[in-house]
Amino acid sequence: MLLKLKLEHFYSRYLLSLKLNNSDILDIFQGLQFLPLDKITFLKVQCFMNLVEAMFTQIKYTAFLYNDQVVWSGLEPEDMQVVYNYLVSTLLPAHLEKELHGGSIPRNSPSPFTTSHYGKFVTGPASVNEPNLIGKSPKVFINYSTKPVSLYLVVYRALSATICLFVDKKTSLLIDFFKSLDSFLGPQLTTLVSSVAEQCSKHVTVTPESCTKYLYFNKLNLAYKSTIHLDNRCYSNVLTTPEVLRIITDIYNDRNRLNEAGEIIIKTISDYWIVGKLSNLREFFVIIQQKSASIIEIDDEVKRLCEKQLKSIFFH
Amino acid sequence: MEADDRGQNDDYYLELSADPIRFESVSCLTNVFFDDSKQQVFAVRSGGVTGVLVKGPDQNLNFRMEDRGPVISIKFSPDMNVLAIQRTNSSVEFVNYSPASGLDHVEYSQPCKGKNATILGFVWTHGTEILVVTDHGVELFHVNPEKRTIRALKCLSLGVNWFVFCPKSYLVLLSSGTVGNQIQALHITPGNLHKLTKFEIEHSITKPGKLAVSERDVALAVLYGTPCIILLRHQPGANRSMGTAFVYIYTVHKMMTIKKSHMLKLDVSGRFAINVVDNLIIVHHQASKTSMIFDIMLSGVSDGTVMHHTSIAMAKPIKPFNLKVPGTTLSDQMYQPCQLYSPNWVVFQPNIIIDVKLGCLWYIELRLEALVKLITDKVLLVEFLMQRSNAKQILIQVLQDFMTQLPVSLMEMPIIFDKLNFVYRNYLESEIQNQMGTPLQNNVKNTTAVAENFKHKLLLDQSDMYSHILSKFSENTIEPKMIIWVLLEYIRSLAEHGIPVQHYLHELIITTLVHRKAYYQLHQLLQYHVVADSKPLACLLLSLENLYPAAHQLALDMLKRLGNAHEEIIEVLLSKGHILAALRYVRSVGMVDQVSARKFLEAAKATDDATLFHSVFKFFEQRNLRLHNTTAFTRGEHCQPYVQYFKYLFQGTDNECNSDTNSNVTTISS
Repeated sequence: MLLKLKLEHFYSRYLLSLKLNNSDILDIFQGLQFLPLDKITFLKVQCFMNLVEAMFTQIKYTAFLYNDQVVWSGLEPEDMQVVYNYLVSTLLPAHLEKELHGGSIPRNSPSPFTTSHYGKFVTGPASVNEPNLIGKSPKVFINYSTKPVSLYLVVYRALSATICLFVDKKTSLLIDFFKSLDSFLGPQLTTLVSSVAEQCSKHVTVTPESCTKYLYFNKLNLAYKSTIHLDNRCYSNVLTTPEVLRIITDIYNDRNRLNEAGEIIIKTISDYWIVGKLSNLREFFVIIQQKSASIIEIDDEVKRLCEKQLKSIFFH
Repeated sequence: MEADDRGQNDDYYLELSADPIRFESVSCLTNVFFDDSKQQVFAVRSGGVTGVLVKGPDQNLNFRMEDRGPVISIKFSPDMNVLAIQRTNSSVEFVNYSPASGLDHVEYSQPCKGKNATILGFVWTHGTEILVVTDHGVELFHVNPEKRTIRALKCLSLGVNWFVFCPKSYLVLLSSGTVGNQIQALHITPGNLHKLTKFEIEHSITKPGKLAVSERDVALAVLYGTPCIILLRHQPGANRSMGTAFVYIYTVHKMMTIKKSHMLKLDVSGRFAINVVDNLIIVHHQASKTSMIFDIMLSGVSDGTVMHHTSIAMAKPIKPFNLKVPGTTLSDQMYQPCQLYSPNWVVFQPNIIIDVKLGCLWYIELRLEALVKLITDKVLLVEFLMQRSNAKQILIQVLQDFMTQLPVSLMEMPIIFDKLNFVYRNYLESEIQNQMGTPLQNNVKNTTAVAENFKHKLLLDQSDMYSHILSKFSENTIEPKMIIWVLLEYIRSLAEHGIPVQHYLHELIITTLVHRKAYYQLHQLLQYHVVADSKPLACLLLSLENLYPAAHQLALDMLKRLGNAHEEIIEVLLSKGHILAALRYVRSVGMVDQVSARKFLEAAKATDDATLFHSVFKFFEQRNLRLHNTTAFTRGEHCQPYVQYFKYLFQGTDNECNSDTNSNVTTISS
């Protein structure tokens, strides 16, 4: 009976949620996007998450995302991989959708004169002032491969930051718990987010619309970075042709031939050069569209890009 | 008695010095004088004929002098070579003194200049200069003990009601005006008097003949290096018992201006006395027999100009004191409890309490261990301790206790660490300034003023934190993840204050993370460069590869960022058998001509991969050709075994195979 239910769910709901037509190399990677951040701001985030764990002992693990990019994950990468995918492709888009349709967002503070903050729960109560709308928090299984533990996933959002709290299953998720979480997280998170936002704006380097695109993946921490994909929610939103994406996937599948390091260069009929480079367990794909280019020019371009984008890692 | 003191109620935060200076108590034959400049007690018996006993912190003198009338005041000059005695209202007499020959027999004097002027008192200032204060003004004289002459240096005419002198700041406060509400401060320098801005004290209508401010309500002190005027003000309430008293602190800036800057709320009324210990203001209240402690350096509530402070702990009595007295027999000694806050007490600045009846002089002392227990606010406590002298051990103890209160105490840790590191940062800055030599002229004043402020703050640097606190966590009481929280919080605070984190802290956090198997957390710390790159750290990471495979990648990245670790990178790659990658790296950093061919050939041979060996061999042959115009290796390279091995592998093989391996060579040289 249970199996039947599970299969029912799998075939009728989960399978349909996989948009196989739009899948590409990123679905193979199942990677995480990390937010580039300076040391101090990262430490502020990390220390804040530690403080949350210290103050609420029911919370076993935490994670912090900003603009769908990971800043800090207390989970192991394999677990984070699943949670990240769920957040970025299911939970957060649905939440944003709901907010957009909801019109003006009711603030948390009952009076405009009390200090207000922008935090609210994504899973859990829609508003801490309405205890009847406590909502449901999904259950997740962590450490699946070693010692599975069941935990509640409470997601809280303030401005562009999302924090995930993995709460002990034994905790009864009553409104008081959410209220105390909200009053602790809300104000502090609001100030923290503004300092993250400030640092981010410094890090954003306006890259001129160039015909050279790249895709980076490190299988050890699952980090990926792509200038092919406009945003990570909508995989169909790519800046290149399906043919190129297919070739990237093919190169990826062929990488075993490269041993520990190497390079594959492919030129298509439509003047696309696709370079796949493997070094130090990282993969780097470069797509260049240039008419009548020589392989030397392409090699130089790839070198230049590596020098610029990967200068702080060993990648030769 | 002693044992009882250590009982449960041992939360007295003030005590009298264990060994008081004893002197003959006041009687009809003996007069006692105290000089607060030199902190000497003079017991004058029968006008000096039967002896003068002088006791101070480091003196115990005894001499006789002629009785020329009752003594009003008696004081030694700073270096003890002249004794000044005042017996009349109009003159001060001087007698030379030396430890060897005792008191001279010749007295010399100079009457004060102003006619009909009454001498209110005198103080020794610099060397043998003496300031005489009369009701008509002040006069500064120079005493020449060799010639036994006195020369007037400076004088100032002003109606004076009373005066107070501070031997630390050389500041004299003169009360003037008919109602005594005007205060003129003078700064005495060698040979000169400097007037500071005069100020008035607001006063309610006083009874005729009573001054607005009386001498006993004023104390001069130096708090945190700044001269201060401490003024007691009684706020009359509806009835006398309802009124409460305040203490105002006026701070003296650059010996020029005086500003009312602090106010202490006492919340009680009655008779008070003030002491200063370790830059703290202690207000004794006689009626309740308790004392309060105030610290003007701690933040209070500002009303725009004046900072309002409350007592940092509840009012407590001074710890009971038992005086050692002779018993019934000579060898027997008894302990007799002393009356505290006695009407016979006279309080002198900064920290002296004298009981004239008992003949005791005590220094009032702080008992920080007891005070620590009474301050519940941890942030305030740390700040308070940072401003105490010799409180380092106690502060460390407080922080250690604090760590046992994890996880709750993590809440206040950021603020506490920031306070410690703010001082640490300023200390480092002044260190650098000192090393750089004298800064530009216009900067001098600013930086010294700032440095002056931090002089009174306790420094707890990262090596202290490491050796006393951060490396002292016991695994049995604290979860390893909490240790990580504290370490990261401390590193965050250091980083935010721009203080370079020392390697031992990085090492500690890495080993703690490894111990906890929190490898992914470590990975993220390295990813965001929280841990500074270094060769030892890269080696540590390499050694972790078996536990966490990604550590190898992180180590290589770190070596690459260091920029001077080519040798290490090559070694790492070769040890992994990544020979082509190593060669590619060698070429990319332009070290082809320097590397040892033997090392590469050895590694290639070890792979048992003939094609690979061929590629590497040919690579070096090409190098030989370029460097020496021949494919042969020089003798110094010791490559003969590999030449043999190459011959063994490829001698007699056909051309097809050769061209195949040659194409491999072109791949790596592309």
